[in-house]
Amino acid sequence: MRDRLRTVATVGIAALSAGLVVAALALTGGPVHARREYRDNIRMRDLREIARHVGCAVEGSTGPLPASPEAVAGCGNPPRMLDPYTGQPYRYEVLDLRTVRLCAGFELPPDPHQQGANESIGADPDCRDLRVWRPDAVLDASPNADG
Amino acid sequence: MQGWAILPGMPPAPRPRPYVSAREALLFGLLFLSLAVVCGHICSLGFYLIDRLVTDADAANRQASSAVRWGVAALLTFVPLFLLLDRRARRMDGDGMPRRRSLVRRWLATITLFAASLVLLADLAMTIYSLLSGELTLRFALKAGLVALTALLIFGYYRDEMDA
Repeated sequence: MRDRLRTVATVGIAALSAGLVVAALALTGGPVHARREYRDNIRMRDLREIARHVGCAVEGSTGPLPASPEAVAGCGNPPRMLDPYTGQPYRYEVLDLRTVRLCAGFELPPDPHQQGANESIGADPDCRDLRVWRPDAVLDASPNADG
Repeated sequence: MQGWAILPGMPPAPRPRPYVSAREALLFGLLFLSLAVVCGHICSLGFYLIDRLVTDADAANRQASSAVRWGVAALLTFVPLFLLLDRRARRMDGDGMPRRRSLVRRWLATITLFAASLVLLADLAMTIYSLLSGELTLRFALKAGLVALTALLIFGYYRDEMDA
């Protein structure tokens, strides 16, 4: 039959597509999982913005990082300190001269592949240790230098 | 006179001539596009699944979930369109008109087969190169097999067009 090969190809394309869609959804999660992932991405973006804001505030300074990012002035609008979905405040803690620990109520376990170069996952899966950019020359001059 | 068929004992009859139809250009253009999008995303999603399911110590790259979801969305949109247009095209084949002389259809089929041939040849060359240079992993072989399968399905789909 003339069209038999074409029919086989059409069914093959449709079956292959259907199989891949089902497998991809099974591996990445459905819309509910995607929504959680989206909310976690917004939270992570907020934490990065807080770290960036802190880095901006201590630019050129040799002192320790501020105890509270809300106290930072002169770097544009203050970053959002509340989780936009739950209203809970983000937790902020200074670890050393370059690193802050920021915590949020993440809904999904952390994915190591999604972490940036200056980020690491803390002992608490809800926390991320974010490295604030500060020039080595500035820190070397600091009496509190941690090496 | 070449445009006329002269059969013994019959009056001269005009031979079917290639023609261009705007309606068919729309139908076969969309069919061509949907097939291209579907095959592209079959390979893209297939690569993602192979990366997730087959571990490879040499490769650490991983596609973001957003890219995978885009592939799923594209397949969910374009596969039904492809099937719908294919059904419409088959219905046109069955109405007794000499549709296969449609220039648009013939050209799109030829371009698709040309592209599929290039993909198949490049895929084969890459596989042989990987084999010769000792880089042929299971992951690579599966990806090459998926690309070849997709190209062969396209061949199967348009094979009849070249015989018409």
